Amino acid sequence: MRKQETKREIGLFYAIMIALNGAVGIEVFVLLNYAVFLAGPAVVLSLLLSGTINILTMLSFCELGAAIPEVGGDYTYAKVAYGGVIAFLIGWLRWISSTFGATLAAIGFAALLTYFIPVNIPLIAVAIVIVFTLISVRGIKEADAATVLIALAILTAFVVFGLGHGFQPRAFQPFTPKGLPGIFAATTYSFVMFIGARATVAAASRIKEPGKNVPRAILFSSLVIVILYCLMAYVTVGFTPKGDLLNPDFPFLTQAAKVIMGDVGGALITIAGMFAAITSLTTSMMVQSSIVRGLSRDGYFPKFLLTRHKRFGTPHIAIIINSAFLVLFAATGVIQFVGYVAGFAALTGFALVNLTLIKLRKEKPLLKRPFKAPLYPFAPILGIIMSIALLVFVEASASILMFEFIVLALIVYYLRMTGFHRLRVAVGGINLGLVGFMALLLYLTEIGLVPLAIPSPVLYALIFILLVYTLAGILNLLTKVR
Amino acid sequence: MRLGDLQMKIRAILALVVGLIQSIIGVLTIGFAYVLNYNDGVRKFFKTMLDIERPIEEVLPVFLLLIITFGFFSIISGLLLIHEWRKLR
Repeated sequence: MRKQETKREIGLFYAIMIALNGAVGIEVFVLLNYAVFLAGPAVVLSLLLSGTINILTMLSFCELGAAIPEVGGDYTYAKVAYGGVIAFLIGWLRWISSTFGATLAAIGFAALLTYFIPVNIPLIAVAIVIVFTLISVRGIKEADAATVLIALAILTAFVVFGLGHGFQPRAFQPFTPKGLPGIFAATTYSFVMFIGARATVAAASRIKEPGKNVPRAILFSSLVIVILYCLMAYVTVGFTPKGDLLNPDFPFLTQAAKVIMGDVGGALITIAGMFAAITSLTTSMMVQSSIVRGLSRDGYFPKFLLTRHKRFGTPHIAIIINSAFLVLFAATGVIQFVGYVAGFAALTGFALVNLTLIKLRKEKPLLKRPFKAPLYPFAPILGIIMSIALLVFVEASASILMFEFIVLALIVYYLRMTGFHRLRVAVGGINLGLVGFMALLLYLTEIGLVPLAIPSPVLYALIFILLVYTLAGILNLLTKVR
Repeated sequence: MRLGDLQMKIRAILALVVGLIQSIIGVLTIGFAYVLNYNDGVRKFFKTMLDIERPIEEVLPVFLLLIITFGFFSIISGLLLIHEWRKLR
């Protein structure tokens, strides 16, 4: 295993490029459309609200990133402040957030490709994940300044030409067609558009003068992104024919670009989106593997995930296992669902980062803080309240999946903390409990008290499952392995 | 071979077989949840079998939660048994 390099070699410009590389991602290209559908012209307010919550939390990231410029970012801060389950949960949520961020990039790339040629979106999304897994195993650069600057230039041109063009008549009336629920739903949905600047803290251990450069890079890129995206939303709505605002599948952004700059505009925006998808995918894959390695280093995940490739020096096992999850989620091809899950994970993670800041200010007042978040404690408290409040507007199926991920996180954590033997006994008990419940249900169905029409093959399958689970329960309860 | 060793061997084989079957059931269950979410035909069959009166879209998230939880639990339980087999063999 190679020792991790921590030489500080990144200056302010490249730190800003890393922040912008994370911030100018695929999200705005694929999520803006549905956000416009959710909130109508008020999507501008939704993005402003999202951006404000994001900046409030970015202030916390700045303070923590400057005070603890170590590998692992938010996970490391939580470890210093809380240790235990909270730190693990933050690491876990960060992993989920980057997993779904990468999935969104893969699906987004495939969806944008349909602008040029008709393709099967899930198939292309899976293919792109496989290709970039192979590239990541060989090793990739962290941020390409040219790609970031080209994408920014195209988006700025879209805004500048758009503002100079005549909008659709009465494009902004009614301003809030779906009321406050629509605005908040779009805020939640669009939240992940703004979170990318935190990628800087992941590289904080290699940034020169982190006390100054980390906050500058994060705040500068966050402000640029909030202003740019709000203007993009404003221009997009301005060029959308009124009736199309009711169509959730309408490509608002490319359509607006076409009106403003002709066919070249539509193609340019799509190409910028595809570039952004590739940078988002590679950044998210790097963050994903870095978090997994951090969790492995601390014993939550198996140690073999730390292994590096003999020739390329990359954490190939962590990359390949992470990619297996990406393939699974990319195969759904559903942008909205993936967007909501990524948003949920990011919002929960942001609330926990703000909590970490408060805890560290209270318990480690002497910690050297080259940057102090202004408006303390109001900014982090407001960040927590707003993040949690927005979770209400996440789509039900995405909330359920996240609930399951959190339960799984707690199981993994307690597997490490409570000891293997007690976990086996608990699993054995649950197995037998399930058997008892299913047997009772089948009995009640047989005597007609529960009106289930179970076909014979399903009934035999259920009886087989009962037998297997009984044996599994007994074997787990009487385990010899400690 | 001593009786204790034989018992241990039988136990290890049983743990492997049951663990594998349980893990496969878990994977198939999650696959079923995936199909149930996206395939209208399977949804109709499911609705008829469970005699659900409300529109399936309303109750589907709860069923998906239960099915996926069951699937994950089965995989975890199965993997624990396979782990036992690896330690005992």
